[in-house]
Amino acid sequence: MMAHIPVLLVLVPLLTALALPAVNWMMPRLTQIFLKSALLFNLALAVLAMRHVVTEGPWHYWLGNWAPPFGIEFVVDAMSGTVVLVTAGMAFVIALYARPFFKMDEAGLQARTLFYVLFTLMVTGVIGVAVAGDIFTLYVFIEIASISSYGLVAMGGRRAAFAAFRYLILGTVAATFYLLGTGLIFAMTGTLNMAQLSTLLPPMMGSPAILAALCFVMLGLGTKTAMVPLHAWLPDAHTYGPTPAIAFLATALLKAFAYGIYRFLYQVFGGHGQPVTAMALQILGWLAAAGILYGSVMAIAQKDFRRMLAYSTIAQISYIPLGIAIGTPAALAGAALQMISHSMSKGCLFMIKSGMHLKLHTTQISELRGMSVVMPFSSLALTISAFSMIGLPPTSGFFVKWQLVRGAAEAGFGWMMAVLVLSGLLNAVYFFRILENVFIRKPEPDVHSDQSHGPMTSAGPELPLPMLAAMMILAAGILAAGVGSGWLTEHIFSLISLAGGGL
Amino acid sequence: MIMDVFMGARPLWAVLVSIPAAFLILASRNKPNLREFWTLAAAVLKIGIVYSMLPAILRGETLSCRPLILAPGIELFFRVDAAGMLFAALASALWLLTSVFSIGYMRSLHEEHQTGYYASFALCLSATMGIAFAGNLLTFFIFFEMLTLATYPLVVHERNEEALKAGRQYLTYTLISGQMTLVGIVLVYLTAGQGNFIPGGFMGGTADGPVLAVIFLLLLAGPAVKAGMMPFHGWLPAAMVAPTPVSALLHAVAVVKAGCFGVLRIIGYVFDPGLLLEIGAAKPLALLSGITIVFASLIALTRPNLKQRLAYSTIGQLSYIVLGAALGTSSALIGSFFHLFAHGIMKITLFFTAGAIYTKTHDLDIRKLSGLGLTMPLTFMAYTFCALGIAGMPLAAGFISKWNLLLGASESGQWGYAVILIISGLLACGYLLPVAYSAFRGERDPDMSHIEGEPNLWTLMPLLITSIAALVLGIFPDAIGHFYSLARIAAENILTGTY
Repeated sequence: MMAHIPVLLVLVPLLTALALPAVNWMMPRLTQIFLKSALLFNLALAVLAMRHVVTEGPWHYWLGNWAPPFGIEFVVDAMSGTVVLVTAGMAFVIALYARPFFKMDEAGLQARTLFYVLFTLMVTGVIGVAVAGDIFTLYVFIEIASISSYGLVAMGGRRAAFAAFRYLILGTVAATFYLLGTGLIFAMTGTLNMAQLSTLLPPMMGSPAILAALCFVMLGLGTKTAMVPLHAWLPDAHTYGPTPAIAFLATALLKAFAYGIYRFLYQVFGGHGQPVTAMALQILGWLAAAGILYGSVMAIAQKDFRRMLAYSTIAQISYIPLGIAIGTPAALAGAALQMISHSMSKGCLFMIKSGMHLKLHTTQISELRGMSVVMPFSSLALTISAFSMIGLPPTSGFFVKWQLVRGAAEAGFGWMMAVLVLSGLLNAVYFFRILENVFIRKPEPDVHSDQSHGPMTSAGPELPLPMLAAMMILAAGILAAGVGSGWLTEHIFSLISLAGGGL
Repeated sequence: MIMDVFMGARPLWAVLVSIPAAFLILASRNKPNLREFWTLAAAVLKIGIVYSMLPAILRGETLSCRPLILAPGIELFFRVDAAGMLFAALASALWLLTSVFSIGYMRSLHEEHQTGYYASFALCLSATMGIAFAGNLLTFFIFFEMLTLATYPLVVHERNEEALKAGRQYLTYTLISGQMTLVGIVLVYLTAGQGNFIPGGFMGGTADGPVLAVIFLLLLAGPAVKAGMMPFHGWLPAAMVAPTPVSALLHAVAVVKAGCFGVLRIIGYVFDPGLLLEIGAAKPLALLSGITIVFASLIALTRPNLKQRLAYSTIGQLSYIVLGAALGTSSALIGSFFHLFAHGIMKITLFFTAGAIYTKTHDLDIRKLSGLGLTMPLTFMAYTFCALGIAGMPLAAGFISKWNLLLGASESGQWGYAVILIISGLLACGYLLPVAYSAFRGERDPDMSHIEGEPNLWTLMPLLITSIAALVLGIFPDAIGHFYSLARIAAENILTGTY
């Protein structure tokens, strides 16, 4: 079994998704146990896969032992292993969170089994994107992940349906662009396998067809990653979708697409070694910088915590393309660390957002006064996540910033250093505004006292234990990833391959 | 075996010991006595750990430990040298006294949110130890930023609009300058290939003069802001809305001294005073600190509130330290390091007295304090003595540092700074002594006629101890804690370039 881990990583969630309705129909009591143990098993597989990568190098797995280009290849290396680990970890933590969430949610989500099916399908897709070794398999998994995510967003109620529709249209257009690019590449080279493409493509880089393919693929993946100016679908979808879904969408799903960008630019198109790709990387860097600043400024302008998080996602996710664009080992280590760091902190923030909604019945920033009294643990988790977002030590966000700033300095991109520093300060503006309300400002006594469900009258426990546990796991993870970032960088991220295309 | 591991990692324990204390404090929020016990226990433990390292440091050794890797080639690196020891010994000793004082102060004023207060306090001290013992720039920066965060709740302790505004101002100043320092640190690692502090610096010859000057400016931004250098001092008087023990900690020990200590580290252990002259940064820095000294003292004269006066006095006094570092001669450096300690102990006494008076009067307007010296003789005697010490009177600790700074100014041939130091001493008499004079000789304000007796013992004891220490160390500067030797060793380290 150990030899088949790369394919099991995809198969376990896929089979779980397929078996879940049957399990639920026959033994409804076992559904949750079945789901969680499957996801935990998957996480264990991800850890084992990562261990294999660290001890024995990148893992190329041929499905059915058919050699590429005829067979399907799965690849686990340091970068894709990181994505897999993040995905499997987040999936388990979110599954922990989801059950009590749906019990408490007033909207009364009826189709819970459907939710879990779509959720595990999305996990399948995301892990598939990470481990796919050829560009068409990648497309298939992109679509598995995307289509299930459209469905999940649409489950959030009426406003979510419209947001999901918009997301669906843009996402499908993006996927079509990607497919066009894939088709062009296949027509020009006759293969879909990435490893082969990386040797076949360089002599052809001058051809207009390959240039068009590069543009199409980047357009497709860029839209899916919500890079400015292709981000328009994100704020609504991430505001109205059901929290457990969004906590995964904003973390693992976006990371997988950002990883796709790295995969294409460095392992297929040759990275900084090719003039055309170097140009693409430069444009990527500018767009990422624009995304960072745009997202942060828009986040400051928001009054609703949910929407603020959505814009903050646009800003934070752009750190990854920025690291990819810089292309030094330090910068890529920063990008990989950001995958872990941002997943945990944004996942945690979305969970806190729901906690606020369930307990305080509001997500308006101005109405969060006194939250620390009612929800001390959530407030602590909020503080840690916010510090990580701003990039303050000792959280992982600081080390992301350190690696990226260092990479930018090594590559001589002074303006990127400025952007990163400015981004941290803008993050400080909007997160400290919230922390001020949560911890320091006193609640206004008259606003809620006459309502039975006002924030300060809420008695009873803060939140169900599994929800708190999920938040605390992530908050502890942020600190652990911060303290252990040197270890991670030395043992895992240093193995990230630039395929000769680094700076 | 286990003992060896424990002893070897003492710098780490000194840093970490107050972090569990912070959590214990939060956990026992409903039991004030237990909560205060944790604070005091951690403080005593910290002092024990720090002072157990003192003999080795006095022998000229250094102690180091590297518990973690932070980034490729960069470790979490603690190294205890004379400079760090001086700062750590000062901060840990004053933490204990400030904690005792806080208990008296907070309880007699029935302040709210005391749990958060003590917890932040403990975290602050952890960060301060980290700053003192940091052996490389990244470690230094991590704790420097943690200090900013841990003091923020203390600044906004009063939870009103004014406090929030001060808190925002504090964060704006410190976070922006901190980011500049971060960029500077990245550039140091890039140009020099490493960032471990080495006495006498390691930046010489790694890049051209102008590049080094830019790096120096970026590096200095964070520490200079925390040290209240003009024109970046605005946060410091604003932060005076915090309760007095916080001001005592912030403005005598932890925050501002961390800034000064950072300046000394950067000038003495990253660059060196000679290199600074070469790249043309020493003269402007000395000039800026001279201007800060004079202007801060002049502003202090105009402030009617005692705490505000002390704040501006602090801004002026801190620049003594920066000035000494910028002059860079042997005596000037000894003066700088010793002033780190001397100003700390005297200014904390002044803040303690201000706090102790406030617990009785609930007002710190200087005119209202008239005539109170007769009913609180001990408090006002401590005040008077330390005010004279700040002005540089012989027999007080402040004289030792000022004398060395004066020697340093003459050694470097820049007599103008000697004049500035003397003027500053006169101005200090001008803004601090009228309070003492009117307290002993003036008429009672009618509003204050009901005030009788000294403040309670918890607040009185710490301020008496610190003022006596200021006296003893003014006469025998090497008596308790060997601060003068530490300052001398640190200055020697920098000038000879070896530990």
